[in-house]
Amino acid sequence: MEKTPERWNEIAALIREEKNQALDYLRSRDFDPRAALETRPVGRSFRLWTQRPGLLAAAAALFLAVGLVSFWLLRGGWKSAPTAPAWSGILADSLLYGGGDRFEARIPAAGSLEPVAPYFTAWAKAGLERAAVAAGEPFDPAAPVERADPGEVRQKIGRMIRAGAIERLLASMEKINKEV
Amino acid sequence: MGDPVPVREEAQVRLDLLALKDKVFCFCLGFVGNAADARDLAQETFAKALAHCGESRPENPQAWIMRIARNTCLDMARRRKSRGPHYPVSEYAAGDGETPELHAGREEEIRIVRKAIDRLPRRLRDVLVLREYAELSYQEIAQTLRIGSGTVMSRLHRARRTVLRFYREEHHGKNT
Repeated sequence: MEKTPERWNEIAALIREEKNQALDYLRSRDFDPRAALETRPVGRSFRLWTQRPGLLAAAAALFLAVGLVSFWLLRGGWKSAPTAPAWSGILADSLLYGGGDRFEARIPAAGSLEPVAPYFTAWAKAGLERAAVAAGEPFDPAAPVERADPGEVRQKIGRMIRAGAIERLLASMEKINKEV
Repeated sequence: MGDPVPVREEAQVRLDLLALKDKVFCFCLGFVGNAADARDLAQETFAKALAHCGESRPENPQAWIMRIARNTCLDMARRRKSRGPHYPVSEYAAGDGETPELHAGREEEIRIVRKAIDRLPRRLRDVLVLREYAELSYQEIAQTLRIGSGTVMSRLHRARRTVLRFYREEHHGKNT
């Protein structure tokens, strides 16, 4: 091991001088730990919370209780929770999918509904028909989109993209739009 | 928690702790580099220690309070980091028979040493400050930091060598 250079004594002397000056300062003033207790920094309450496992457990229990009460208030009970399949449960929380059930209940039968925007409906239907024809597949307006196999949907979209069907669809939509 | 500490014993622990006031203050000084902050930190350290000495029942009060002081200093260093760099301010006037130029020169030397200590890695700085500022023995430093005496010696050697190298470079830079 390399011998500590002798010049360290100079550094030690400087440190000693600094300490002596600082100790003079300390002795010229009050030293009151209670004052420090009264003027603890703002972070103290946070440290107390995080350093006490009991408080943390109580906070977690409270959080869980609030969550359960919120769930109960939103659902109106526990019935639907265990019976619903996992994916449906997750999807049911989304606004559109969850609202779909309510709309379906109100719809008497397919085809008997008066279109809210007939021009838009005609425009969309024509576009979809043309896209389906271009992709070489029969158009089925009653196909349940939200319950389709995601892999199959991806394949279909991929085929449509490869065949340039979407570009043709957009072009035809633009054409229809001009005609309307 | 164990049984409550008898009143006489707790009072004795408090007295033992308060006898370490200067050591704790100097240790804090070694960490922060100015007396006003060191005093605040020492007060905060004692406030914590006196509040908990009854329940903690420290076997080695000196090592225990030095650990509290170290954590308090590190807490403050973290707060300082978020507020920007800290530059020690000199609070001292020139002493008897000392010209202002000489005083300024000494202050500058001390400032260089402080800068060198601030730049040390934490492990080295802990050992150096405990040794040079709090004047603890190797054995006491080992108990405070819960490391071996051999580790204390090697870290102290490295710390001193690093500080000296920086000090020389600063002087060399000024002289050229």
